[in-house]
Amino acid sequence: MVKKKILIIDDEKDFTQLVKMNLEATGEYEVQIENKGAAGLDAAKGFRPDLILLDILMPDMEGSEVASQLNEDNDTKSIPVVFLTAIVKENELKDTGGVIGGHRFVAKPVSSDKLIDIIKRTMAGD
Amino acid sequence: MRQDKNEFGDIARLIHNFFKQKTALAAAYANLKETREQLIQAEKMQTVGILASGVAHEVKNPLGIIIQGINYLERKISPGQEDILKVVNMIKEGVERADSIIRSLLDFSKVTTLNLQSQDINSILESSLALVKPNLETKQIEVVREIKQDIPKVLVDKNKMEQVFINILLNAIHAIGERGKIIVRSYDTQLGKGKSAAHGIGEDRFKSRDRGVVIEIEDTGIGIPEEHLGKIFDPFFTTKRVGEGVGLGLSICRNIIDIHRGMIEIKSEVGKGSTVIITLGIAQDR
Repeated sequence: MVKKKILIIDDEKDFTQLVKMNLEATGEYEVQIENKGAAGLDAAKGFRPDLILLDILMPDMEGSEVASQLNEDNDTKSIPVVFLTAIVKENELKDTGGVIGGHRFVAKPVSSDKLIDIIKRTMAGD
Repeated sequence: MRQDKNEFGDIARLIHNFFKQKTALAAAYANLKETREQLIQAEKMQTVGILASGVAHEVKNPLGIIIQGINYLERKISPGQEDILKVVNMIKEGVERADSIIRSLLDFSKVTTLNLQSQDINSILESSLALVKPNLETKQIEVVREIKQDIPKVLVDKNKMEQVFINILLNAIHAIGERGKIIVRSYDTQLGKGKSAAHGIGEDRFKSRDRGVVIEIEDTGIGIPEEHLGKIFDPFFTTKRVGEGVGLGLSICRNIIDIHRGMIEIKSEVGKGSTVIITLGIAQDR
C-alpha cells in the first residue's frame, strides 16, 4: 500500500512529534515535520505531501500567510490544507461543519482518532 | 386678594416645575447609572476576553500534546494492563475537564453578536428541556410545566436563550440531587410594578408601562444561603466542589440576558430551593 504523505507545519515541536508518531503507527502515513512557516513552504514543494496540517499562530509566519503562498504556487495550490488551531472552539466548528472560508479547521486539543478521521475525509474530498 | 391668588399660582407652578425637573433628573441619573454600569461591564469583559484568548492558546497547545501522547501510549498497553489503562483514562478525563474550563472562559468573554428574531419563548424552553432530558433520566426529578400558551413573542437569539435555560436547568438538577421537582413557568405581565425582593441584574431596565414575558425555573434543591445570593452572578463564584464547575455558568447567563436588555433574578431559601426569574421585553415594544 502506498503511504499517504502528510506535512505538519506547527511550531509546537512536541505536538508535531507526537502527531507524527501516531500517524506513522497506523502504517498508512509518511509524515514530515516543519516547525517554521517558511521552512514549511519549502517542504511543501520538496516533499509533495497529499495533505498539510497547518498551525494558525506561528512566530515567524501566520498560517493564513503560509496557506496564501501555497495557493499562489502552481506546484502546491492543489494540496488540501487542514488548519490546526487553539483559538477556535470545537462547538464553533460544529456549527460550520468544520469548514471556515473554504478551509477545514481542527480545534486543539484533538485526539489521534479524530485527526485521522478528518485527514481521511479531507483527502476523500468530503 | 387677587395678588395673593397670583402669587399662590406662581408658587404652585414653581413647585410643579421643581417636581417635574426632579423626576427628569432622577430618570437621567438612572440612565447615567445604567450606562456607567454597562461601560464598566464592557471594559471588564474586554479585559477578560483578551486574557481568555491568550490563556486558551497557551493552555490548549499543551493539552494537545498530552492527548496525542496519551493516544500513543494507549497503543502500547497490552491486554491485562487494566491498571495502566485506568490511569490513562483518568488523564484523558483531566484533559477534557481542562479543555471544558477553557471553553467556558471563552464563552464567558466572547463579544457576542446576537441573531435576534421574534421567537416563541415556550418553544425555546421546550427544546432546552429536551436537551437536558438525559441528565434528568438518571434521577427521579419531575418536571412540571406551568406554561401560558399564546404569550407574545420576544426578540431573542434562540441559541443564546437555549444556552441560558440549559445552564439554569443543569444548575437546578445539580441542586436537587437525586429526587425532586423542577417547575418551569412562563407568562406575560406588566413590568416595573415595584422592586422585586429577589437578587438580580437589570432591575431598573424596564419602565412601568412596558410589558414583558417572564420565565421562571424553580427547583426543590438545596437552596442558596442569603450571603451567597449577592455574589451569585459574579464570574468564578461557585459553591460547587472542584471539578463540578468553575462558577461561570450564571455569569454567562447574566451576560446573555444583559445583551438582550432583559433582567435576571434569583430567589432562594436554604433547604427549600431556588427560583431563577428571567424577564424579557415584548418584541413590538422594543
